Amino acid sequence: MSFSTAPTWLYSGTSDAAQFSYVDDATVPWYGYNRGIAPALNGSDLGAYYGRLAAWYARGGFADEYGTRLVSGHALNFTDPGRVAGACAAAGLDREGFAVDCAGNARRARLGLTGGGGGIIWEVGNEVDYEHGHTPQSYTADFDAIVRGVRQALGIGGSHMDDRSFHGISNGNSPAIRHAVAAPSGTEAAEGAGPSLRGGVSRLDGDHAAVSSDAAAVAETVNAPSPPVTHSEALLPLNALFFNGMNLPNIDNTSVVVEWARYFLNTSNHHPAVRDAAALAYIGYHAYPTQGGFTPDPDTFSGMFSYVDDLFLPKVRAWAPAWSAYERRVLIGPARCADRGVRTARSCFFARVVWSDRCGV
Amino acid sequence: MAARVAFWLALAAFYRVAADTVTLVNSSVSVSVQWATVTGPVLAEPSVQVVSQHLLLRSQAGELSSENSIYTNSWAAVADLGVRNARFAGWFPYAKAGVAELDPPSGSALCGPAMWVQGQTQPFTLNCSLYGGIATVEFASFGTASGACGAYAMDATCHDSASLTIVQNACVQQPWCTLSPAMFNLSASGCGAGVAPYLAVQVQCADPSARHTYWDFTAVDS
Repeated sequence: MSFSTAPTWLYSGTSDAAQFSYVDDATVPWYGYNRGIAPALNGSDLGAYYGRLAAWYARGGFADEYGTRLVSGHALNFTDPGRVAGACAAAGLDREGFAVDCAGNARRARLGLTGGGGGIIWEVGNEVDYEHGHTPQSYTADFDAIVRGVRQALGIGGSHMDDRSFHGISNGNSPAIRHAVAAPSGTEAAEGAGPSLRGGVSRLDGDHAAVSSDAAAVAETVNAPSPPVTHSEALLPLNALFFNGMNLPNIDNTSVVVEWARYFLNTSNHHPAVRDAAALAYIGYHAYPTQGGFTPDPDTFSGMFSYVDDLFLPKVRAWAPAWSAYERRVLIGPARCADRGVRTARSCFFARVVWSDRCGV
Repeated sequence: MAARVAFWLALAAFYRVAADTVTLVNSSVSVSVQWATVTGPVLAEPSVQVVSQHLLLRSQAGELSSENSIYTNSWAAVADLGVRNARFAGWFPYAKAGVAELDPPSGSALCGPAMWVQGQTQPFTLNCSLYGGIATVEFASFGTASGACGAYAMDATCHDSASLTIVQNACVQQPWCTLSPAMFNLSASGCGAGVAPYLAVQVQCADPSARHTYWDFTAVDS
């Protein structure tokens, strides 16, 4: 899944007074919405937005920035713990604690194939180098914030995670946050919650101890329906949800893809909580088979395969040595594939026109 | 650059087969295939990418009350494909369908939607029913105001001077009110030719503890 677009008010740096504008009619396309300069003003806010999206669809709702409970009734299975249950799950974490994609591996085993894949994948951004002026550095920062926010909302992760802000109460209702709402931008109170115009915002940066009994008391006064879910769910393992990063628009721009991948795939460039194999499970780069003559006309469908064979896969193969320079926990190199008995690097990549790399983390 | 509804290939099994015979007969070509002979696995399968756009909304032309047959049939067709993996992407060309919180939290100030670029067409409701009703109208301008909720600034060169009165009459001491661009006088706005005015409005609820966010999944979930 890919909820690719974040609210533009999470970004700034533009002099455009109409930064927050959008087209009024949901049925009319308008390409002017993408505004503001990356990275996000506040990574915690960015993560909280996507976390609340996740909670809306998978946890029945969420507490908004001020603690008001918004109820969706949705209970989609994003994390699908059933897929990682059983014998495979028992062996699903290696001694370093990195996830193994059990479902994908099992399926491939049945097909006589090896390599990673499968499970549910949350794609972080779509063709992001065309949005907000993203650089590898800014995207990596935003990626980490989003992964942390989603994991927190869904209860994924270890003891460093805390999803309280999405269930039951919201620290957005804490006295400090409420004070920040009225505080002028730049004051001490406003520093923690962004500019005063943005109002209070929930924090995700491991500072949830700030959620106080007073905040809980305030939350109880909110005149809103009770959520259908509670905060009684056990924490899920990291490999309950995989993430797909980069997702650049054009594989044919080789230098851009390689530049981004070299930064993004270096674990030292990521937040310590976002260095595991489930977070960095995939990188994606999109290709357009129309360059091979593929169109919606069925008579041209073979053009898709010739595009993949003649234009796409050669580029992927050419990049493989570059990928192998990284830690195997992040990628996905020919050597690791060989460990699994796959003879060529080609077999280690998903042959997608919307393409993601993954191989036997 | 991004795709529309596009086919893609995803992880799984197609098997290449050996072309056994190629025979030229006059100008025609005869090819026979040994399907049982596997020359090598390719981790690929036909799948689908779906990018949110208006034709895939549950309702047509922004009328969220009527079922859109394109929506029904398109999603049924996607389901019929039986793909193991499908990529769904909501992105900015249809902001209301892809972004659930288009306006930032605004504290005690309750505002209408942000300023639109392509023209304001839809009525909107300011709702203080949980907070003692609408107490005051702090700002109202049908024109080309700038700023954001909490810090709007009127543009004197494009402003319907009756804006504040119209909004006060419609909203003050009401639990909620619905405002529409049709309530204002474009000819009186003083806007230049080609300028599309919009309504920027900010009110306060009677209950000073009221805090406002703008989460809206109406189109996102459609």
